[in-house]
Amino acid sequence: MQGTDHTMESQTLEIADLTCRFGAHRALDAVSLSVGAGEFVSILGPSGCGKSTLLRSIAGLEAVEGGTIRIGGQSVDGLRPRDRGVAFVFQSYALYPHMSCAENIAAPLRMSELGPLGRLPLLWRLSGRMRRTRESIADRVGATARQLQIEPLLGRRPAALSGGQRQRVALGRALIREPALFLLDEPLANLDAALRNRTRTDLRALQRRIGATTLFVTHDQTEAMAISDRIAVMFDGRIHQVGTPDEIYRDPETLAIARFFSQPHLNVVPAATLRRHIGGATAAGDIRIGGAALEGMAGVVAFRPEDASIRTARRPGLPGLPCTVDHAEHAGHDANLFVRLADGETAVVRIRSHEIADWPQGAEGVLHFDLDAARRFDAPQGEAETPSRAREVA
Amino acid sequence: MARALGWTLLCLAAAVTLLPFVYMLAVSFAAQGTIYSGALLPAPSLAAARENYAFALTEVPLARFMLNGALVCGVLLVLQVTIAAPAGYALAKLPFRGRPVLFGAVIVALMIPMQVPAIPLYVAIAWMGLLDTYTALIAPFVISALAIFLFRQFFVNYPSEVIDAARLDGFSELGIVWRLMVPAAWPAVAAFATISIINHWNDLYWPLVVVTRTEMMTPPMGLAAFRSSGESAGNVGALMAGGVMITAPLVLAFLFFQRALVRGFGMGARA
Amino acid sequence: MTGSTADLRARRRAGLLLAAPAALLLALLLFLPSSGVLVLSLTDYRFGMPGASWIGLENYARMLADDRIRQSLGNTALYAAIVAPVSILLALWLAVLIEATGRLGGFFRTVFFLPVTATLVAMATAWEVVLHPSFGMVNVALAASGLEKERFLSDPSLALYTLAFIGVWKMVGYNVLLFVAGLSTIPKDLYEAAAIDGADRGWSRFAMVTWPMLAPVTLFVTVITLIRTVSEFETIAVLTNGGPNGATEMVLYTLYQEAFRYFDIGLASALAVCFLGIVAGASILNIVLFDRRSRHG
Ligand SMILES: Nc1ncnc2c1ncn2[C@@H]1O[C@H](COP(=O)(O)OP(=O)(O)OP(=O)(O)O)[C@@H](O)[C@H]1O
Ligand SMILES: [Mg+2]
Repeated sequence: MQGTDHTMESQTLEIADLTCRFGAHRALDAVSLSVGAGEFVSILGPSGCGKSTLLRSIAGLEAVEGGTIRIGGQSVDGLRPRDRGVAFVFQSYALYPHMSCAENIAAPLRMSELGPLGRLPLLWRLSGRMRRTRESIADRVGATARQLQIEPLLGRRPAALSGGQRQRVALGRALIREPALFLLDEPLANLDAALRNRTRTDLRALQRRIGATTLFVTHDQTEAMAISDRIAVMFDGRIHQVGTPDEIYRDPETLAIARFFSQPHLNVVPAATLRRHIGGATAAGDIRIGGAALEGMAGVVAFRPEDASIRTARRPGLPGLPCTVDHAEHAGHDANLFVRLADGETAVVRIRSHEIADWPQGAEGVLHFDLDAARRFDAPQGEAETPSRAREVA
Repeated sequence: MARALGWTLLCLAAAVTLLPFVYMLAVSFAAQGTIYSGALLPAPSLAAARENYAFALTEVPLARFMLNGALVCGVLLVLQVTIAAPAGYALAKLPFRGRPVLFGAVIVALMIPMQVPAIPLYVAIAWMGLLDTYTALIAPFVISALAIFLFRQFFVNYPSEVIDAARLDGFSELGIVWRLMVPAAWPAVAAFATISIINHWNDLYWPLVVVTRTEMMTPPMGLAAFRSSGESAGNVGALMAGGVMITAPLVLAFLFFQRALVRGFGMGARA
Repeated sequence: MTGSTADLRARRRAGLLLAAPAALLLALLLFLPSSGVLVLSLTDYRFGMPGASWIGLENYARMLADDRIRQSLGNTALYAAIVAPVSILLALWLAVLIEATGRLGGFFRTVFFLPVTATLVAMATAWEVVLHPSFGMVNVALAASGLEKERFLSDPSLALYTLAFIGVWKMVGYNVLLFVAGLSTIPKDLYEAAAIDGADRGWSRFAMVTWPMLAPVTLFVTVITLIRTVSEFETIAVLTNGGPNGATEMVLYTLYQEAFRYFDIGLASALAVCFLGIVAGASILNIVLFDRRSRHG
């Protein structure tokens, strides 16, 4: 064991119709999800959508109202949290404040492998078996610490560690159990941006090495896309879409998902407005959006700022919307140009930042967008009649 | 002008506060004769001091009283914490039926002075033939509503995620109490220990009720008995020596652990 | 039935199990005997006598008719009426002074807190020696300045006031501590704001900032002090035995005498019920007033 990584037998996870209620509020509403052995799946969703509740239900920490959970094909309904073979890294890390890092990491082993007698101070020296168990635990703590490069910290209390170090100790406490399933609840949320990027890479590398099935909760879509095999997008206690990062980015099933993956801006224009202003046909014929004809189309059309461009004059064969420049926001290499469409709605166009000077306020132009990259969605309830506008997704 | 007045008042108040301490110490160091000499403070003498303290320790079983006091306080404190800590944890973190009722009961219990249940408790203890025993001195106080309340208030703010982590790591609920909560709650433990020890070391009422035999007396009761026994009539020095000895442990402990004690009383007061 | 609910059930059971010893003992050692007092107060039970019979409210009638008990209640009220205001106002003044002294404040706090930890029985004996009619320090000083010596503890017109003085001595330190804690929570910028408005020191500053900010602490201190003063027992039991001639009888001492000297359990129980009424009433008043304050303030 020493010097080598933990490798664990990875297990599948199947969740069916999981429902969990807090009073009248449904935190989980018939959630179903299958995760393959060794797979890394992110649960992505806005704050309060039930991500933590889902993880806690899998671990057995939350009382569920209905549904089943199977780990490695075995139902874990009726099993206590400690017996489910899952490891949990909490958003706050939940380290034991009065124990050293070594004791924190050793805690799960001490509880499962030492009897109540063995945990008493001094008494364990009397028995050879207890002494060997203790030695073996100490060895495994050392190996885990080496793997996570936290050996120098082992003697310290959590209060004396930085956020990143705490995060790794929490990871160590989860790793050492060699669990069938890893549950990580926003383990990177408390780290600064630079450390976050580095840690997420490390985390994914570690997961590949040990091959453990992992559920990873986050509300950051770039993070989810960067490290996941698949992403499950959650809103309001329901899983809306499951797919690879690419599938979800290219083909979001609902407007809400599209917005979530087009932060900070997504242009949403009612199909009717589009018809009124977009002008003539394309060079190839009728205007088609997402494979369907614009003629007779209902709902809204959404496209990303990076799929849009702006020109000074309309070109025949290239349909576009007349617009007036409002203002530009510098964003480093690129810039976001806010324009007003003919009906007074705003839209956002991605331009190169050196072009800002070409588009002073009040300048007239024509907005084009990549018709193949645009998607049609049903109009969100209550928004059908309101004018389209670029929305900020918080 | 106002400042000077303030200082004068402060110093005067401090002097009056210290007066009985100084006088008690001075008389305990003085020979019989010099006390009546008409001087403000009698002159100290080492020989007289030795005689006074020896009298208090041998003729009066003061050492026995102090041992009784220490035993009662120690056993009480251990039992009070052992019983109250799990209850405080349950009230703070576990959703059991009857939790609001129990918490309400604890609040009501905080308002009941010990002299109210004392009469039936005395009748029961006498009926069981337990008068003049340590059991009689200890049993009525093993349950402390204040301890439950303090622990509960302290545990409520303990992060629930750490408790969840412990459950995943295989801690039992009792293990969570003793391995996680109590070690983290040592300020509450210290606060409660302060209050409990001060109360029970100094209590006179209950020992007067259940104790009559000299060898079962606690320090204040023993001193009160010594004072009124007539033996002390001619021996004020020994009486004061006794007073010094039973007061010293808590006063010295207070001087050593001042910060914890002051905070403890602050916490207890808020309860 | 799913797994998590099973675990929740286990947690509920654990809660019940962990709370059970405390709940049981609370019922057995506190609530049962406290209600027992209520029952006993309606009987003519005397300890050592066989049997007892219901006599309704007769004990309460006896209590109110008994001159000794009436005097005892009166003494308690007078004692509380002296000790509570004096110890509270004095403590408030001392606390404000201590706050202003800076580094020496710690020293004074320590001095004033000493009586709280000290064994009252021992300190009462010490006071007795200090106040001794012939050789006590105070009388020596009185004689030296040409005044009459006083029998502080055996003169019926003085004894209660002497006990009240010792009571103040004991209570002030505790109250100072609470006030100092309260003062330390007043934000410094409030004082600065008041200084800009012209209340920069002395009385105006106290009236504008300190007193209003300290009101909740004062309420709490008042209730605690009242409870502790009506519960005075030690000094009476050690120094005066309620004498001379009942001049220092107070409710707890009378209760103790009736119950454990005369074994008149019925009468003593009625007294205990009254005592509980006074103490619990003060506590409830505290909660109600505090609640109202925090809702409106
Ligand atoms: N113990 C609880 N009691 C009542 N409601 C709760 C409880 N825990 C969570 N909720 C509610 O359930 C919903 C989902 O909560 P959950 O913690 O799972 O959100 P989340 O997706 O993890 O959010 P975040 O990203 O902010 O952590 C929220 O509306 C929350 O208010
Ligand atoms: Mg969460």
